[in-house]
Amino acid sequence: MTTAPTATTSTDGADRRQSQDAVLRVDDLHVYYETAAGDVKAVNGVTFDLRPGERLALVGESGSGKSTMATALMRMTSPPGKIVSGSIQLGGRDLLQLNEAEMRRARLAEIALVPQGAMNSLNPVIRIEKQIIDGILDHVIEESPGTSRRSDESSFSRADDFGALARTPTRSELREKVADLLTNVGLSPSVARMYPHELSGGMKQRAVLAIATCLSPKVIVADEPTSALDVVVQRQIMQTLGRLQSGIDAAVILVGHDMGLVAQFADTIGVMYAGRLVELGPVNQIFEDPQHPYTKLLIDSLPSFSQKKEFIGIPGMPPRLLNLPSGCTFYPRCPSAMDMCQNTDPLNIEVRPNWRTECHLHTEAVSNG
Amino acid sequence: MANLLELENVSKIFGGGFFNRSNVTIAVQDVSLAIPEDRPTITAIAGESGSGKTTLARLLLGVIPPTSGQVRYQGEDVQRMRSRDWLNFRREVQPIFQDPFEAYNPFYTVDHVLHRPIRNFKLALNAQERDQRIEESLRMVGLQPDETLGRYPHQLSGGQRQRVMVARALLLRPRIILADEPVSMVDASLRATILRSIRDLNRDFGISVIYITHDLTTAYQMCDNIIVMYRGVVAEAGSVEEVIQNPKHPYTQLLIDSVPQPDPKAAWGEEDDESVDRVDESSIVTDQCKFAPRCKYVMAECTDSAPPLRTIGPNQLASCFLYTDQPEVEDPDIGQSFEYPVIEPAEVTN
Repeated sequence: MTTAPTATTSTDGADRRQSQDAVLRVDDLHVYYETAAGDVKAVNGVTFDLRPGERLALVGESGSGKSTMATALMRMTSPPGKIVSGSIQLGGRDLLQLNEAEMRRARLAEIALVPQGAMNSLNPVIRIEKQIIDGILDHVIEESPGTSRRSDESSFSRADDFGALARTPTRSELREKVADLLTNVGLSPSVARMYPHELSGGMKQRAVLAIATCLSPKVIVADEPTSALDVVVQRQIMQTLGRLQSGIDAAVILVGHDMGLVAQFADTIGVMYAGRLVELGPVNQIFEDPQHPYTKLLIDSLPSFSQKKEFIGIPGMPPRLLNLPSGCTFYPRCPSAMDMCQNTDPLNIEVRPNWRTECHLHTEAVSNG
Repeated sequence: MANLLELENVSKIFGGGFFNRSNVTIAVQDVSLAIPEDRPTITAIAGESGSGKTTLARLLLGVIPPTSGQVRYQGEDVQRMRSRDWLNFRREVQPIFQDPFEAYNPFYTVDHVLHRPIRNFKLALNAQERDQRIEESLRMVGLQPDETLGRYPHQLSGGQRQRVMVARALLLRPRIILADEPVSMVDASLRATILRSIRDLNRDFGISVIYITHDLTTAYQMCDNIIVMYRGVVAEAGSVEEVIQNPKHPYTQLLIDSVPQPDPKAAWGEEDDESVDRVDESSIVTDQCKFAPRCKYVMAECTDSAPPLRTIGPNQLASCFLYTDQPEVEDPDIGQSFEYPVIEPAEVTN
């Protein structure tokens, strides 16, 4: 069992807020890849909570653990990856404690994934219609003797907490549902009878969004949903995702490295570095006044149209996750590094309401003030 | 003024053939562009997928022949060069490709990609001279030779791998570097470093750079001039300041509007443009404005004939019927609209 290197020093206020209205609570999550050379700590103690309808963006360089985080939230981590410890509370239940059958039903119905390279995640030999219906039908459980079949009940109402459907929808109900879903994502219902190769990249991505929202999940995890698309299509897809999300009041976790997209889409930004969430807070304020030096460098390195400036990169490389140095993981690259950063792990400090960061610059402020 | 590399009314058509005449793709249509010998500049060729920008790059590299028109290097048709001139062309026009992961053979150390061109072009007399040259190139792109040489590709980061590729191009003392999406596979934090090393090649060694990209923000930061392509046709061209800050063609306007700005307060084109998925590619005929099916200003004449390039300003050309009051270009060369920065070469490289 590992010990979390830093204690979460959240204030009472934050605790109250979390317990009250979080739809998703991730607490001290550790996901490691077990290799012959040792454990690669891809996610190393991540804690955050998500309110209904919130748009959280997880950003970071490649290797920062953001995609591992996305897979772990779906509990789809596969060997050599392993969720070592922590909890993922969704609607009051710990996803990590569910059995396989329960988890299978929770996926899509409670928490849905828009995978990376979603355009290629459709099955090329199955019509779009069937690919949408498959997910729905998988959530129908055989009627147990105790429950009576009620025809007045909507076919898509839930039979239990795990996202199972009350009864098998009829063929015409399914057809109607598919047409609705496609219309919602901005596609013509005739797309239902098409195969993926007949669609453009943007249309395929829309079809994937239709699948992800077919059971109105509480949380949508979108792992770089537009990475292979042109900017014009990207904007359309993100606007569609935003519209769908507010329609069903789902929370969205957007995983990616495009800070422009994050600035335009998200409410909350979580910056990941070497498996840890080094800064988490409101997008508007963080872009204005980043508290962690890494966030500041990330924002400064962005090109924009507003002015021509020197290219500013972030010197150095991310640390090897196999042998993490002691102290702050960003210490070797940090422009404001101090002596204490080398040996002492920075605490997770709430610098402002709902805004936390892990940096010794703020440790000082706390101890002095 | 002599031109180093020039395209004269170049078109490239894929598909077609005797049995399948209707099914053709016009990847590049009637593009003329001259890159002058004495004024090194960084030119962006920007556009979405399917705009023909990569086809244009391959035409410039001489790896595919144009269907019509001519690609000339120092006044000679690239397709009909004698072998000695062809060798020289291939040394002086160097590509940098998109994916730094696939450009390497994983079984060789990175030294291999650096030794090979020296051997092919007989650039060094002995191993000592060769190593000296390699180390010099690596330093120019900001790499430490002792940290780079002797390593296998997987031991380097993506950014380092791409910079070794820049060093490889530099090794040959090229006059033109053609970089096709050099940073699209690299993390945002490393992009800056790579783009800076490419730009320094232009500023310090007077190498002309053609930067092919879909990312208008890096194009704006790095380039002097830009060509915006749409389905094989030049939509707009000119200095980046004019084209990006004051776009005239509706397509350029749409593109710029769609780029998510890294500022939460900046607007991200609120207007929902749904047109792109509605366009049936086969319905686009050649003798009309190709952007007409998506254009919000579409008029009757847009579907009657293709708009010619017009001079909008001293450093701006656009092909759009909104600007019929402006004069049509007389010389088809897009380069006439370019702005050339004043650079004092740091040293003579050849």
